[in-house]
Amino acid sequence: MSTVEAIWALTWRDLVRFLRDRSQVLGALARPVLWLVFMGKGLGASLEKAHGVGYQSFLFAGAIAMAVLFGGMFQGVTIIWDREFGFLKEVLVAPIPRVTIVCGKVFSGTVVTVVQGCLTVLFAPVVSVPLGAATLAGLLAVIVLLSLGVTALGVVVATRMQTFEGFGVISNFVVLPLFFLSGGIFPVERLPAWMTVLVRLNPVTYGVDLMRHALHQAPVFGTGLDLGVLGAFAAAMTGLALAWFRRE
Amino acid sequence: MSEPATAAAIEVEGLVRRFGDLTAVDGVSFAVPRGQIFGFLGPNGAGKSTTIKILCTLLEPSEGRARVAGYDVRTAPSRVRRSLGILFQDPSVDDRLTARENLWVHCMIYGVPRGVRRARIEEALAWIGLAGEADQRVRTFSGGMRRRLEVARALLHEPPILILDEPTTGLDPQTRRTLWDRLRELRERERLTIFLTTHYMDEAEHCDRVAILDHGVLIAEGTPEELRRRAGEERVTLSTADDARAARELATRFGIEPLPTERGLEFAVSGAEELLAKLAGFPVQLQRLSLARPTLEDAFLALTGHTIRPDEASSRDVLRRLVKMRRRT
Repeated sequence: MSTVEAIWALTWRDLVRFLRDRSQVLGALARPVLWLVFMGKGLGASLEKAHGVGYQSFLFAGAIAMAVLFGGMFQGVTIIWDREFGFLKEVLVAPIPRVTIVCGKVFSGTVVTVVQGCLTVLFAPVVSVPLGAATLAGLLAVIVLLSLGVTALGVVVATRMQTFEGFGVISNFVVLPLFFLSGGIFPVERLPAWMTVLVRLNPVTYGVDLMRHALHQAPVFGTGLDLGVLGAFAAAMTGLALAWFRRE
Repeated sequence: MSEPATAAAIEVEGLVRRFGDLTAVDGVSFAVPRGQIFGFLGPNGAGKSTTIKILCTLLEPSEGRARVAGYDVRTAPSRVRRSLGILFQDPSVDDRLTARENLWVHCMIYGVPRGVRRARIEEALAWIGLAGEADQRVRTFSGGMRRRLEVARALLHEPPILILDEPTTGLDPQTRRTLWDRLRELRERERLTIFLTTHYMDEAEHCDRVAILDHGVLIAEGTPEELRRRAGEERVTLSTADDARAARELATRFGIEPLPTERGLEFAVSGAEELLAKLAGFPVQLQRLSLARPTLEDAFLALTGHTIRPDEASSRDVLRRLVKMRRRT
């Protein structure tokens, strides 16, 4: 009861903070526009079709994955922010167990990230992607699972980082590789063997592939494998976040 | 020892905390009876904040025991946290939320019963004089307003014990005074126990008991009056036509080793009569003489051999503060 309330309070706070931060909301809206319109149109002009659809449509799943990757990672590392500016202490001395605090953070970060992922989905008509009920449900499921995994990954990273100075490193060495090697911005079937290995090790790949199932864009793996890897990734990251945050 | 062990609000026995080679707190023992204002006095780096972190379960002791409201910080951290209201040295309000929202979040994570929340928040806002600004974002608040909000927030779940780490640092004198008036009022009304750290000596005068901590060691404990007495009965400041000669005369005639300062020669005597008797027929012409009761500052100097140092913030702290200030503008 009080645990649920505490988690709700932490979630509400993160949502309010996100919505009041104009630059974050603007960023969440601008990023898909930049990628889908400029990147999609620009690169699409000199590319053949990919997975049977035009490049802009092909990029759609990638843009959603990117929104979730950037959003989730940022939500996770806001713990560093809270630590630096004191609010974390207020939470740490509250009579609630550490587990509740981590669950609250992962949950609230996931909610905010899902919102950002869904904002990207709104751009489907712009890139001529048809959205049926089944497609929407499929996309939402992937967004939720991927958001959970990435936010928890952000929390794990945050427990290892003392200051914000390392944040640029994180986005360059974690977020961008996960994004580039996910099959979201180029097809992954005709890559050199070493890159194929990396692509297959990347959990985000299976999220993008699962979105292609929902979008009918010639997915590479089976639904079961996609769901399994994505679920395992989310569970593993949440577990790791719980274990490591305990020492905070 | 007729009272049970739980009679004290805070009990610390042989507390040690090491960080690698550094021993921040080195065998500290003290007890704070319920309903008292207890001041922890010491320069930066004396181990005050480390002790507070142990008391509010943010750090584990390396050795020794600490009990809060009768609960051991190591074995019952949740119970300890429930018994405490804490005001940290650094700001800990969320500046993107409004004052009311900050209080509301606190009620939720501290499990304040649903039915009393609204009333308690309104009461707190009125008490700290922020009822009119309740729905403004904390970002727009002055340092004093934030501090008052933090005090109100620390009391929202009605803890029996309040821990204040440097509660008035950075506050203007008027806000400091109101804060103290409120703390004393609360102590009277609710029999609240208040444990605070400070390096303002005048503030320590408000305490029922004071402990002086230096380099992680507790070097004295007592009422402010008792500690002052350890610095001598009276402080004398004497200025003469020739201070250097007067100093020599004081030393040879009475065995007094005065401290030369820009105000004159300073020394301690046990009473005014004794002093006047000594100075009759003094060979150097006296220009001005003043007597003062020793302050806690004098006591601190007498006990530790050095003055309480002003802020010596590390470069990292300075940087952090700069970043915080930038965020506020």
